[in-house]
Amino acid sequence: MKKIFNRVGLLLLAVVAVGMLGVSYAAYTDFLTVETDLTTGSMDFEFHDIGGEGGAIIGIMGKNGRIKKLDADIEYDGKTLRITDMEAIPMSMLEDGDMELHIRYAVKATEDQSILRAATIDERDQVRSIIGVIPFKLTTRTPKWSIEGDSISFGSGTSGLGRTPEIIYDSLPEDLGDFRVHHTLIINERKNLMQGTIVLEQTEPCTLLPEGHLSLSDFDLPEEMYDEIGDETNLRLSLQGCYGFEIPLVLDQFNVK
Amino acid sequence: MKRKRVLVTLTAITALVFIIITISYGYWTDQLTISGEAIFEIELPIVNDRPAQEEELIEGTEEPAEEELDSMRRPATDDNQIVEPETEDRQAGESNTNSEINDPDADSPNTGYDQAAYGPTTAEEDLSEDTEIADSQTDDAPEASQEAEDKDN
Repeated sequence: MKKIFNRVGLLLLAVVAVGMLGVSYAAYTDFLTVETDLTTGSMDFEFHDIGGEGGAIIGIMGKNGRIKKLDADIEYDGKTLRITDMEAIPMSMLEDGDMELHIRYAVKATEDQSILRAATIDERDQVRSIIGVIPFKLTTRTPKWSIEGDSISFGSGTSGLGRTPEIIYDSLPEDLGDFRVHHTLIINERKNLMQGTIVLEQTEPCTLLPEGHLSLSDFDLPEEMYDEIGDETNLRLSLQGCYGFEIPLVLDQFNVK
Repeated sequence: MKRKRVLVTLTAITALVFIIITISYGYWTDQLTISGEAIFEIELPIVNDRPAQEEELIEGTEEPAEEELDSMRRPATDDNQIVEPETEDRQAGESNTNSEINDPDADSPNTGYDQAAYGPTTAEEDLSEDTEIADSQTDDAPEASQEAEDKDN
């Protein structure tokens, strides 16, 4: 009896007891392993060319509620999307103060390791969908102009006119007022990219016409040009001004679904 | 001294925290830009006021011409030596160019002034024609009067 409870015996007994405890515990429980990579990877998106994929890149909302596509050159330069050579918009559309410009774009992650999606922005989310207010400012000092009549037409580029008449500069407004910017962003699962829409909404009517009538004598044209115009009465001044805008887009990954 | 050290330490810690937050925010967000140029066009009517100005200019020159005409008429009636019959005939000869010349009230100085208003070139040309006509008429005039005297006789 004394031999059984010697040191070696007690040690073996303890090992067996612990082993039996383990077996009993295992019988009552089960282990499942979950492996996960938790990452706070950096966001790195670039604009993606969606030309010809589902409609217009830039358009204007017509009076009938439909968006009319505007021809323009779109340059994709990494994190910058630049719209140039846009089809001319009649300034009369600004007089009511409800003009809307729509811009569609798409962004894609540059690398697979980075975050693939940004947080979506719903149009109902008034806080996140309104970016702010941006101005449309005259960018080119010398506008494109022409005077047209029934039998005569001359203007920018016509030789012998000399300098551009001062009244041309005075006839174009320096800015077109402020536009409120609305932003929505959704996921396109099929193409594995994010599609956004920017709506530039005019905040107030724009006063365009200069006070009083434009008189031909105010143009200070060369005498030969006046002789050429003669007594033509149906004269019109056509002016084209270039107005620049810049919209910052901040994408985040908070609450990404 | 101790207070200053605490202040420096606190400032350094605050700056460090801000830098960490900024870097973290940079990792969590991304900024892109859409820029562009929209072209707007406008069409405005122009009032052609140039012909009106020319008319005013001519009218403006005619008014002093009338005054000058009156002033020139007065000495002509007082002193008959100023108006020569040859000059009257010369003005009658160019009736197709100016209707006022046929006006019986119009005298020789008036016609010359009106023509000058239309431009110096025209006036010079007309003047040269006038001298030719005048020369021919002055040559013809004595013959005509002699013929009339012969008929009377």
